[in-house]
Order: sequence, then structure tokens, then C-alpha cells
Amino acid sequence: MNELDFSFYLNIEEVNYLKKFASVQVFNSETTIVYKNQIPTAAYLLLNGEIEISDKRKAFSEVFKKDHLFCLKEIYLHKKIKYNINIKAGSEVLIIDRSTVIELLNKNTFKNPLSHLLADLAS
Amino acid sequence: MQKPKAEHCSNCQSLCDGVFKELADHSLDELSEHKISNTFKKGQTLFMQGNPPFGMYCIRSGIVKITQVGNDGKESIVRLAKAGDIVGHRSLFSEESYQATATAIQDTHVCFYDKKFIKKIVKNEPSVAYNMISTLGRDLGAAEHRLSSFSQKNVRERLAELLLILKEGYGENIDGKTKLNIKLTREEMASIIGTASETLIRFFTELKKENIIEQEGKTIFIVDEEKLLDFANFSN
Repeated sequence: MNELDFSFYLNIEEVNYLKKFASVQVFNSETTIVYKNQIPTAAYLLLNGEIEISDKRKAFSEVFKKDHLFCLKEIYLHKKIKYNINIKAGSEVLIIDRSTVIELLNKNTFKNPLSHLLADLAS
Repeated sequence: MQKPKAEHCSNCQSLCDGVFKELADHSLDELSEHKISNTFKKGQTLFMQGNPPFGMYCIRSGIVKITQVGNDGKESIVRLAKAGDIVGHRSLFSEESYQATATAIQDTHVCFYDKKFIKKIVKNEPSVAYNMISTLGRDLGAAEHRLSSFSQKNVRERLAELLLILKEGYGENIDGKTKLNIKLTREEMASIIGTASETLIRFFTELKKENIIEQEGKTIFIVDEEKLLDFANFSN
């Protein structure tokens, strides 16, 4: 099983759909948005900048660029993340909180571009 | 997929001190279902100054320091938050970015509630709205008191006052002495009262020599509260 299964690349249609539910936010300071073994407090869609996923003990680090979505399933299902997730200063994101995830699920239909991801949450 | 259950808010040891203390059972059920519980280790950051706020943290156990970095780059502690306190709420309602950074100064268990949920609960539950206004009022009062203390009291008095404030929040009576269940570094204490570490150490030594406080390792005990009140120059 892929341990980084909390991150997904979204196509433009999926990104635009999510933009209807959350506004663009800028992180002015570099921040650890999730510490290892924590449940994320939001899902993040990176629109610009960088997010780094790392584990010092495993000497592992991977940097993600725009249009990656992180932690959607984990925030809804209260699942812990096994890595630190760090967002670089100046990065632009959509912060999708738990209330928004519930809203997305309530509006989910087969026509929804994110239905494949949302179906996974609801099952 | 089965959702793991977080501990119910009605079992929280800090519920009676918090903004949700008057909620009915069905509202506590909703709160418990929605919250995200995490433990922050000492030194880990809950949120950073300048970043967008998207929720509020309720402290279940542990202590969080709220710090602000000024234009000169110096960091000062503006508030300490303990079990039952909330952090991150001010920026949430003022629609500003976080004006301060929140860092755990010991392992701290917190529950997070997102902005939309908090706004909904404040709208639907008058007791939560009232308790939040009370909290904001108390915080404002403490900030005003701190501001006047900076201009009206000397460092010696401010240190004595800090120890008395820590006694109120974190004191435990043991054999006639008050043990402060909070471990702050000299730098952190100096930051709270707005002085240099060296100055703080000098007055700390003075308090120890006069048998007003004692120290065992990093733990501080208040031995003579009356003398400490004199030191703080409290008029009442």
C-alpha cells in the first residue's frame, strides 16, 4: 500500500470545482500544517508554491507542487498521517475544512468531478 | 470505511472550564463528532503569526504560549493558555490573519473546531456565544492590565506580579507552599514581563534570598505570598 496515499493530483476541472467551496489563502510563514502522527485539521489543495512531506527518521522527503490535494480522507475519517507536512512561505492553498468536506459529500452526485474521491469517503 | 471515534466531549476534564460547558447532551454529541483531537509535543506549533485562521483550538490538557514577533524581530509572550482555554478564536472572528503564534510549551492535548462549525454553533447556542464574549472580555482586560503594568510598575514588581498570576493559574498547595505547575525558561519569563533575562535573574535571586520563593530544579515554589504581594506593590 502506498504510504503517501493522502495526496492526489487533481485535474483543472476538479480544481475549479473545489474553488467553489473555499477561498484562496496564502501562508505567509513556512509552517508545519501536520506533524507526524497527527490527524490533519483540514485538507489542502496547493494552488501555488510547495508542500513538503518528510520523515527525518526514515530520511524521507518529497516536495509537491501545484494542484495536489492533501488529507481529504484523513480529515473526514480522523486518520493520522505518518509524516510531517510542511508548507513553504508564500504558498497559495484552498483550505478545505471538515465542514466543507461534509458539504461536498452532501452535494455529491455522479456528475461531480470529485465523485470518485468523495465516494471513497462515504463508503 | 469505519470512522474511529474521538473521545466524547462530555468526558473532557476541561469541559467545566471551557466555552462549551453549558451545552446540552445532543450538542455535545455534535461537538464530539466534529472535533479533531491531537497531541502537540513540546515546541510544536498550533498556528503561526501571519497565516490564515481556519478554526479554533480548545485545550484539553497542557499549556500553550501565545507569542508575537514585533517589527524589531523580537518575540514576546502575550498570553499563556491552559486546559479549558481556547486559542485562535480572536482572528477567527476578526477575519484577520493570525496575529500571534501558538506553541505548546509542554505536551498538549487539543481539540480543533473549524471556522464554519464554530460560526454555526455560536449562532445556534447563545451560551457558547456568551462564554466566548466573556473569554474575549477577560483576555482584553488582561491585555489592558499588562499594558498599564508595563508603564506603571518596575521590573521587580512585574516579576512578583507574574509569579502571582502563575500561582492563580497553575499553583498547587503542597505543605504550606505553592508549587507552580508550569515550567517556563528564564527567557520566557523575561519575555512576559518585558525585560532582559539577566535582569530577571537578578530579581529572581533577590526573591530567593528573601525566602519569598524556592526552587527545586526547574520547579518554582512560592513560600511567602504576603511578601510577594508587597513585592508586587498591590494596593489592595
